[in-house]
Amino acid sequence: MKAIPIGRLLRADTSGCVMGCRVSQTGTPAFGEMVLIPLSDGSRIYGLVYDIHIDDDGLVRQLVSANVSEEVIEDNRQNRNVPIEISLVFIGWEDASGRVSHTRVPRPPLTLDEIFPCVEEDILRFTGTGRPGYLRSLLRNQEIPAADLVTAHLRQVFSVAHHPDREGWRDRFLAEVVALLKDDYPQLMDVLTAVSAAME
Amino acid sequence: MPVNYIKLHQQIREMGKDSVTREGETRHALEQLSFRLNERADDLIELQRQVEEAVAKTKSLRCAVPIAEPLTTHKPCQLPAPASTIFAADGSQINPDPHDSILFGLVNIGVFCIQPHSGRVPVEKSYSHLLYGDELYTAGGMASEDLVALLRDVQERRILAELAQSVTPPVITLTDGPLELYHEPRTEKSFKENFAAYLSALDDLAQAGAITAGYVSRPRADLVIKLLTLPEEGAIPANSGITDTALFANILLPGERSAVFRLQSRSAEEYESRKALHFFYINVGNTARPAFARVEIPLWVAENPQAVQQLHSTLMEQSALSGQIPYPYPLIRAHEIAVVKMTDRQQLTAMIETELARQGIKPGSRSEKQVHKDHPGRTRIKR
Repeated sequence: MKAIPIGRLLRADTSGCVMGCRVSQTGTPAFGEMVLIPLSDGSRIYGLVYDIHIDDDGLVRQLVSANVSEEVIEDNRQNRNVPIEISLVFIGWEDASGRVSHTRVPRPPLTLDEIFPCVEEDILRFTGTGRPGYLRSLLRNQEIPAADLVTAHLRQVFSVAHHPDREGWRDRFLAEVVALLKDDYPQLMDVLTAVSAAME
Repeated sequence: MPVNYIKLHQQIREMGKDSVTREGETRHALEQLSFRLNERADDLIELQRQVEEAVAKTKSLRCAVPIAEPLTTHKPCQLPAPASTIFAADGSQINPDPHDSILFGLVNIGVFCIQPHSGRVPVEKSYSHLLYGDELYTAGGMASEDLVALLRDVQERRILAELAQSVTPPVITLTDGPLELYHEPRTEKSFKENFAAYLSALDDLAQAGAITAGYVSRPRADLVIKLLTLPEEGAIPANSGITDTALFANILLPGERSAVFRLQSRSAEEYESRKALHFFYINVGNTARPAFARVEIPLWVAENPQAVQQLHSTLMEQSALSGQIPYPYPLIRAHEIAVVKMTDRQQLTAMIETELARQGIKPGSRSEKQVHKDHPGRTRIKR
């Protein structure tokens, strides 16, 4: 694995996990970004970032009103409020032979497993398998901001530089959204509005 | 049996009335003392002589001794503070508890290092030492809370001395509380040995040229008041509760420090030569919220005006970092690193129990008394 890990796993189940990482404006994965977790058996779990927590405490609340120095800012970012917690929702997995599945992961990753950002190759491999079946778990999950997450994901995949069939993938993606939400008009409108705004 | 609030209610009313009377008396006494402070502001030689005479009569006398600056000195600080490396250390401990399932203790030291204006990320370190076996016992029985506290203070000082020697001067070392460990000397062998180690660590700090200070927030001492009332014992009642900070409250503006005094006490005599204890008062607050502290320093700092000035301005600068409640930021952080929480204690107990079980040692149990003390509170049926 050439990439640099962005964090390590704190807790998990088969639907998602929470990872911890250091605070950094540039190194922290963005909302909607695809990440992967390699497991010891050679398989890999894919997920999307759906929440990023930065907690405060008594001292930080006090410092907010103070004339803080650069050293104090760095102390609070790099020493005190570590780790920041990033929530991931799993969207599928890949077995040791490289076969991708858009179903629930067979077993969760383990404590302190490393988490990596997906490079373009990973994104194309995961999304290039016909129907985006993973949308089912995203759109039916009441605990995540589905419309915004789907939109952020669409934007990331659409921006892959060497995508072989960008428009075709987008159409299949939106067709799946419509099919899954055909009985949920408010959410369908919510997703399509967010997607249109992003694609303009 | 719950608290008897009916009886307490009456006592609280009496306390309120007493406070009004006491406040009036205190104000009057304070006016007298302020007058005396001004009157004798430059009378340093005579005051020194009076202390000498009083010590000859009463060995246990505890008071301030003026050195070179007038009693009413109030020096502003110069900002920004010159560049330095600040090491702040704080310690916490788990005292061995004979009622617990396992007998052990812990000394945990947290160190915070910051280099103001450098842009460098501050560094935090922690040093943990498990107390078990022979360390838990002295000739007098099980190690007391005082002894564990002394072990903690020695560790703090040793670590600071090691760290101070590892960086380029100027170095400032800060600890929470006075440099003077106790007001009366202790005679037990274990105390003497550890106290010697504490003094030795102070020597190492002197050798490293570290600007060493103990920071006492909201001090209750009446050392200068004792000095002012030396000639007429009984002029101010011994239990009047008037503190030096009340006396200096009208003198020290935000950012200012008082004169540097020498500490006269029976215990202070053990801090010989360059370690002789001195102190000054400082107002690290602002106009809206004054915040007084006593800063204890050894002679090697007190006799160096540049070092005192650097310490003064650094304390002001670092206290301002903590916002509306001024307190040196490095000490806040050192405490945060050092503190041992109940969950840490439980975790450590579980780890030790596991290891003992692995070694085939039967686990102990809490004492009967402790079991009954730990009964959970009332619970409500859940529907």
